[in-house]
Formats: sequence, structure tokens, C-alpha cells
Amino acid sequence: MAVAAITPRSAIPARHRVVASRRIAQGVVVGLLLLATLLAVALLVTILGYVIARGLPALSIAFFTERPRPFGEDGGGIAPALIGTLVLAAVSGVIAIPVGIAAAIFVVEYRSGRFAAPVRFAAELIAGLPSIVIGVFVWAFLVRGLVGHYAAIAGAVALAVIMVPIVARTVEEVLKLVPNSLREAALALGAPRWRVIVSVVLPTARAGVLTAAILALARSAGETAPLLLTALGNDFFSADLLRPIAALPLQIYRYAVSPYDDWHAKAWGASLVLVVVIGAVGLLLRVVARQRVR
Amino acid sequence: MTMQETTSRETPQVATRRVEKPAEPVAPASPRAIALRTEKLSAYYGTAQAVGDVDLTFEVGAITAIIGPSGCGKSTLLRCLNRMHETTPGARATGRVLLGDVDVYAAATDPVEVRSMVGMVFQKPNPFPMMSVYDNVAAGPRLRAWKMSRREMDDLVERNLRRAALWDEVKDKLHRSGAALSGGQQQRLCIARALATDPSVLLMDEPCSALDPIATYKIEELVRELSHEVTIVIVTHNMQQASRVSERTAFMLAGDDGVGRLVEFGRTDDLFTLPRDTRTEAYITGRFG
Repeated sequence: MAVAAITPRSAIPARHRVVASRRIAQGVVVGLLLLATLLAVALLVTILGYVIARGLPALSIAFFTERPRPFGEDGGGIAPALIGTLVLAAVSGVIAIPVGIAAAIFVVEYRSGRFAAPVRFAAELIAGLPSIVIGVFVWAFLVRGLVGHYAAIAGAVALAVIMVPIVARTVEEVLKLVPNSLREAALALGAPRWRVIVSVVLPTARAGVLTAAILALARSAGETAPLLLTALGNDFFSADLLRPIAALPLQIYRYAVSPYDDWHAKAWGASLVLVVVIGAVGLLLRVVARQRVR
Repeated sequence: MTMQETTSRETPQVATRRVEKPAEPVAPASPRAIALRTEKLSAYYGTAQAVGDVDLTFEVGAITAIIGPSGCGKSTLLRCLNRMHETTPGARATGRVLLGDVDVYAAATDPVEVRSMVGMVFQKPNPFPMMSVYDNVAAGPRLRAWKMSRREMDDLVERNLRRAALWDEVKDKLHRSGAALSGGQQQRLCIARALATDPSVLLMDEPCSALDPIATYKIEELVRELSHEVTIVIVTHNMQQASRVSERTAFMLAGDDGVGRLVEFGRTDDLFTLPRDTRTEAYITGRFG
């Protein structure tokens, strides 16, 4: 610092000197970037803070263990919706995650094949479909068709349709990150292609594949529109896939559009629970994914 | 990919080598059996030809070096020998490769079986990062679903780590990640991994180009040791290395059409001291490349 202080500005040749206007431009640009960043962070903090502030008072033991009560009765909780969301997530995950991973493997590992490009294109198209359209389709196909009435399985299928392209596209990016040298090493050891994928490519990409699954689950756990037309909602405890089932977003929607203050408070409580559940699942899987051979 | 070698080449010098090895009587023709042979082998990437009409023989127990400037098709040629070339999208090969009695490119030959019999070591050490040292060596037998007891696998891992001169350095960290080893150790781990499936031929694609001189020296020592048990083909852009380790050397060069062809093939001593072809002489004296 002392050295810098005794260097006279004039010692720097004119064409290497930074002029004042440039310093100002630099300051303005950095300031704008900082502002944008602060805005984004502030938005996140505000939403989270508001949900916590409004939701926290609604929480109680009963909120997590009891079923909703009719308006007028005090207490009651959202336990069926919690169970319903977990059931829907589990069933849709079981359907969608293997299909999405398989599609991604097909696109990346067999990319010289004729069908890789159409598969990727199809995934992009499905990803672009509004979720209500998927809901309408599943409603026509399952609720009015195969099943004949509103059912949890229809909700799970609708969520699975939403999840497949998310899983497929995320896993595709992750598989592309696996160095080709590892595939070559395994192939050169005399491993058949499918063994290379199962034993080398997927384990190497394990953390990323898990992240893809979390991303898709988190996204689908918050979906409301397709569930309105398929799972319908249920005030009673049910894990029966052939009956209507409750879900947190449905519960939030029903409480939020109601005219009652007590239900509004419960909607905030349920929102907080949904945010925390999604966050906790993500955190848990990330910890699991981080464990590797030391 | 193989056509673009980015590693910088050392300044070529006149490579002379005579004192290091005891002068053995020169047999006019080698009586040794042939492990691997190519006949009119050509390789293509899409429509671009990379290797043209190469005829080579690799003797059992000998170390054969393939040298040549970047882009001469030497790595591509090597990858044709175990049908790794065709794993690159659009790549194909024509001609014949004979591995003992096996016609490598016959329609009835499964490339997986070929790669089972021919091991390969790559330019950059590529141990499986999510596997331990132990699991890396065990990877080949496991990927091929060999039925082995725990005990047999332990023996196999130790035996091959010893063959790769790595056992003493890693015996206390067998269950640590293979990626935590030094570069030279990683490459020897890859050699152990390739040896673990008992190949009769070991292909090495510039195995030292990513290593420092000491690690390089160790690998070269190892290659010489291993040549007693397995036929070795080593691609190198380092002429000193070729002259240090190999008995026979093939020199390849790409023509103006970009097709790599075999220019000269013979005993390493002869090729480096009395090259028959003026292009070989120009290359080994550092006048191009």
C-alpha cells in the first residue's frame, strides 16, 4: 500500500491510464448488477419470510395428525393431504423416474441411433405442455375412461407425465458430463454396452441423477391444476389408489379460495409445510448423494 | 478425437541407442509367433479416411512401437486392433485384423469378445472415480460377470497390482478412491485393471504423455517387465521412448490426402540408425513433425 501511494499517476503512460469516465461506467454496471442480485434475493426472502410468518401460527400437533374438520368446528389438520402428497409423489416417482432415466440413457448413450433425436424432441414438447392440459388429458383418459372416476392413480399418472421430461432432460445433461474416457475404459475391458451404462456411467452420474429426481419430485409436489381434474381431494384418510386422494396443493387451494379466516390461516400453514417438505427432501437426498468412496 | 493430439511434442533429437542393451546376434527373420496381424487395414471417420492399407505383424512377447507425427493415424490404427475405433459415432474400419486365429472383423466375431482378449491403456489415466483402488482392478472381471469367490478376487487384485508394480504403494489404501492417487500411480492402476482380465495383447495409447519424467520412467520399466507375459503395442509420439522400450517400430505418416499410411516397419535399432526411407530419416532427425 505504501508502495502504491508513492507511485505518481504521471508515472503511468497516458494510453495505459484509466480515465475517469471508465471508472464511473464500471461503478454503474457493478451497482446495477448488485441491485438485480439484491432484488432476486429480497424476493426469495420476502416470500419465504411471509409464508413462515403467516404459516407458523397455524401449526400445531393436531395440524399434522388430524383430518380437516367442517367449517365451524375448531381445530383439525391436514394429515390426509400430507399422506396424499407423499403417496402421489411415491407413485408418480416410481412411474416417471425410471422412464425418464431410460429415455435419457437412450438419447445420450445411443445417440447415433435413428430414434434419439425424435425422443429428445418429444420430451421437449411434453415439457412445454401446460400442466392443466396434461390434467385434462388424464381426466379424459383415466377419470372418464379406464378408471371411471376420480382416483389417486389418475393424479399420480398426471404428475408422472409432468415429471418424465424433467427427469429425462436433467439426466441427459448429467450423463453428458460423464467423461467419455470412462465409457471407453469400460468398453475396452470387454464389458457389454448395457453393463457399461449400469455399472460405470450411472454410478458416476449418481449425484446428478438423484438431483434430477429431486427436481422432478419437487416440481410435481407443487402442481395443483392437474390434480383438480384427477385426484380431486379428500377430507378423509386414504391411501387407496383407486379413490380420490388429498394433496397439499389441493388443500391449500381449497382453503385459500374459501371465505373463512380460519381456513385462510390453515392455507398458510399448509403452504409452509409444503415448502418445508420439498426443501427437506431435497436436502436429504443431497446429503445421500454426496457420500462416495473416500 | 484420436486425430487431434494436443500434447506438445518434445524436441526430437537424433535418436541413437546401442549401449543400453547387450548386443544379441541379429536373426535375419524372427522365429517368434505372431500374436496380431493386420492386412490392408483402413479406418474411416464418416467419409474421411484416417488410416490406409496398413499391413503390420506384432510378435508374441515383443514390444512394438508405433510412432509418427500428430494426425498420422497411429492412435486410430491402435483402436482398430480391439474394435474400439467403431465406438466413435460414424467410425468404421475395413481390411483384416487377425488375433491369433480369430478374425477380429469377421461378421461372427463379437467386439466384446475381442476387447476381452486385448487390453487397452489410454493416454490420460482414467480410473473409475467412484470406485476404490481394489474395485478398479476388480472392474474387468466384474463387468464381465466372472464367477469368483471373495478370496479369488482378493488374490486377483493383489496379483495384478503387483504385476503393475503398484502393490507396495497402495496396499494400505486399497479401499480409497482410485482418483486420489498420483497421475503415475493412476496410470499403473489402469494397467493393473487392464491386466486383470488376462489379455494376450496390451494396447497402450501414449500412456506416458500426461506423466512427468519419473512416472514415465516407471511405466517404461513396467512395460519392459510385462513384455515377458503379454504382447505389447505402444503408440508414442516420443521417439526416445520408442527407442528405449520397443524391439520393433512402425513409422506412420499422413499423406497430403490426410490418410495415415505405414512408411517403415522394422527392428527399432535398424529404423533409428539406418532408416530405409528418407521420410523416416527426416522424422527421426527432427526435420519435421
